[in-house]
Amino acid sequence: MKLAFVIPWFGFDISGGAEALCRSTALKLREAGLPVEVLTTCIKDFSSDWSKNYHSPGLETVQDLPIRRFRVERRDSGEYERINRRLMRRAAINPDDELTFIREMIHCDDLIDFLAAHEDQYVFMYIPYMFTSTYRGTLACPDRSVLIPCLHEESYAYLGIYQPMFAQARGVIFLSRPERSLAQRLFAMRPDAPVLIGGGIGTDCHGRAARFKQTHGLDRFLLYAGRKIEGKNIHLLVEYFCRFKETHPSDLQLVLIGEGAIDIPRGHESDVVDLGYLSRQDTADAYAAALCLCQPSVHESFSLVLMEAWSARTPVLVHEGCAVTRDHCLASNGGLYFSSFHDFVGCLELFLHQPEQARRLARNGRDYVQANYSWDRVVTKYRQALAGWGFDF
Amino acid sequence: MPHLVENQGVIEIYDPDINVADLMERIRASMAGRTELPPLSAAIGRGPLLEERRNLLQEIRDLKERMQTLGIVDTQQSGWRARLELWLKKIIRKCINRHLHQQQQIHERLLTMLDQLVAFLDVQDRLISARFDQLEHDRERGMSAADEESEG
Repeated sequence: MKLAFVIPWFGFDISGGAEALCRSTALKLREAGLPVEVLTTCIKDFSSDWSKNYHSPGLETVQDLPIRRFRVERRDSGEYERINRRLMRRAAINPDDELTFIREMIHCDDLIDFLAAHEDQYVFMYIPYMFTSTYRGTLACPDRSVLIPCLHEESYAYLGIYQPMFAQARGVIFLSRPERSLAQRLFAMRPDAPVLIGGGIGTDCHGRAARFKQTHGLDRFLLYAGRKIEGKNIHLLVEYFCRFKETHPSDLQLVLIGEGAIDIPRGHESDVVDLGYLSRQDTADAYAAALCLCQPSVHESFSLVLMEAWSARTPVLVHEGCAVTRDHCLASNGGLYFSSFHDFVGCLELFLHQPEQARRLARNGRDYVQANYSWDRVVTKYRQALAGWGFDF
Repeated sequence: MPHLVENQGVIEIYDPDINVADLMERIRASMAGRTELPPLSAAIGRGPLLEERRNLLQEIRDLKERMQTLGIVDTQQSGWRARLELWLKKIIRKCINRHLHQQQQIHERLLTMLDQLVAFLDVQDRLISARFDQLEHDRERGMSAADEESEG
């Protein structure tokens, strides 16, 4: 029997939380001796045309990981976009539109046919919950299906089409307690299906703070790591930081790393530094050099960047509106949270003027990551969960 | 020393010295007790004000320079073309001499007024700078007092 991660697109250079989680988990489980494969489509990535076959179909092996790609067919993207726009505005849609939404998202019949034909040879791990590959695959072979939903508060989570998918899946892996609570509130699941595992974090990349500061000409800075899109609430962080600088003049800077671009308010060009996409080592260096990492997003199901910052002994500051990141801070005693500009100022003042407290927070965060999300622990939890669902490897 | 406790599938870190929920309460109480302080000079635009003032002074200097050379008959030509052009300009100047004289008087008055404006701006700038410094000083004192009060 093989273990297959099923994801709509897969690549070693694709950004995104679910994509990174799938990639690292597949590699680590394979390293641990499990017969892992990836089943995906020929689509390039999230931001590309979902009707276009960018990759060639067939089997390839990268970093010792077998990847099977399947062709996609042309879809009615106009109809999909019409419904998706309504969902993004949080407008209600009828059951017919729900079906059209999932049907016209991705046409991946070849992948679904493969899943159905090889059901007896695989356990399928679908990530994340909302895509056609997950929906149709789970319903095609529910007893062999495990969801890694990466669920958070959003309009898609409330669609009725996902009810049978969660109800029938053999297992559901959650990344955090709030994610599990949300799913238990929204969906009926098999009694033994939900398992809390979390994401795995590597501790092999050590950051060099001094090198990073010297290379980029920086001193004290607050770090944002991730895609610079509105959905990540980065605009709020930039706004708050610029207001903070106006009332607290100092050499403190905000450093942004990751894909995308953002307009920096006039007069604050030297306060906010956008370094763009950095290598893995540079990113580790940035975490190590930062005064704190700020994660303003309110839509997270795990937040890998929090764990990476804590691994580098850096405290974190999160938005209180995100149940997941706030829960991490409370459970670890490793980070602070804000819900207003006043909170933001109070927290930054602590990081700036009480370095001993900041160090204690960072140390607790590191202990939390090592206790819960080291790869050894995560791989063990995967083995236990699979065995619990009756899948022996 | 912090210790680890398993709670609903997650190992939590219990630190006798740091409890984030309590810490957040203290931070919020401290922020709520802080009185509204006058914003720093940067916030009320000291930087932009000085920048604008520099631009204004430069404009005035340019204007004065132009006014001092106003009325001088000049040419961009050379040789017989230059001589012809200067001769024509002088003829025209003689024709409108009275008008030019009046203009010159106005320009001189304007020049005097601009000198006075520059002197006024210098004095005002010194006064505003002193006021900014005073505000910042008051603000720092206010913050220290609020911190002492919250610690007490």
